[in-house]
Amino acid sequence: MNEKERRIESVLASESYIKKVDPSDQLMKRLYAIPFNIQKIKKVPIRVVWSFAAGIALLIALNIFSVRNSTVLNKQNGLQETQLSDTYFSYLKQL
Amino acid sequence: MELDDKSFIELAKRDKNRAYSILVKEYSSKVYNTCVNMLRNSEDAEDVTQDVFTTVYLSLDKFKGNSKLSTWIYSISINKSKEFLRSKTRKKRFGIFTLLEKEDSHFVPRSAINFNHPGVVLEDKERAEILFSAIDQLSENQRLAYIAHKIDGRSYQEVAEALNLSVSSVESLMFRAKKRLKELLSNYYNED
Repeated sequence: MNEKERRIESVLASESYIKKVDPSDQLMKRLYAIPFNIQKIKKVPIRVVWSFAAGIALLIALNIFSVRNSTVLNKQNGLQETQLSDTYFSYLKQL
Repeated sequence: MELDDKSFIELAKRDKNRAYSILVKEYSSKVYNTCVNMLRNSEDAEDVTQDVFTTVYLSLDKFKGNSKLSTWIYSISINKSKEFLRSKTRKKRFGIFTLLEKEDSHFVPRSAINFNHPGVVLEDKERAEILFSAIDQLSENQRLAYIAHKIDGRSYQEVAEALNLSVSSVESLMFRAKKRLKELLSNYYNED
């Protein structure tokens, strides 16, 4: 085996120089804390989330409904105003 | 406390948190070492290990024992490391440079690639950098199989199950990986 081959073999013999390591205490703490962190995130029950979403949907529906109603009312009011101005001007003409 | 897979599934149904603690005790070191060997950086390996155990905890109910518990955890570790490496590479390089690098048989050991393997002592750092730089030139499956078998010390069977391949495919991947590594290292030492 020549020098080059020896160097190649020494690089490839990774089991002789890459050792197993233990995870740090800090990491172990992080791993043991995972269930508690997940439970913390899950604290808001699904039912509450859905009722909140339903509330927002109801609010949006009410808004749309009231906007539609107000447009109809505005149209009706506009008609009444033209009628009123017509009678007012015809009254002035008579004078 | 050591449990066989069947008793473990039973325990997980009754007390998920206790089952999870046993898993951490038994597999944290193996998962961390797999991640360190894949990522070669202790901080990244810690983050990915945490990610692996979060996935394990969340999918504990879905584990039905179709594969061995150790294989299941090992494949999660490999997939998470793979995802991490892909996202990191995407951020770092542009496609054209990756293509050029893959075709290059004259690699240069890159000591600046954030190499911080806690299992390698200082006097062996150069050797390890040369090896991992050469491993980086392999195709993804060759790289995963080589690291899993040669560095992690997993059997062909375990590697095959984790990578979703047949044992013969792993054998052939390993054969080609070793051949390619020898070529790369030979070129490197010719230039030296």
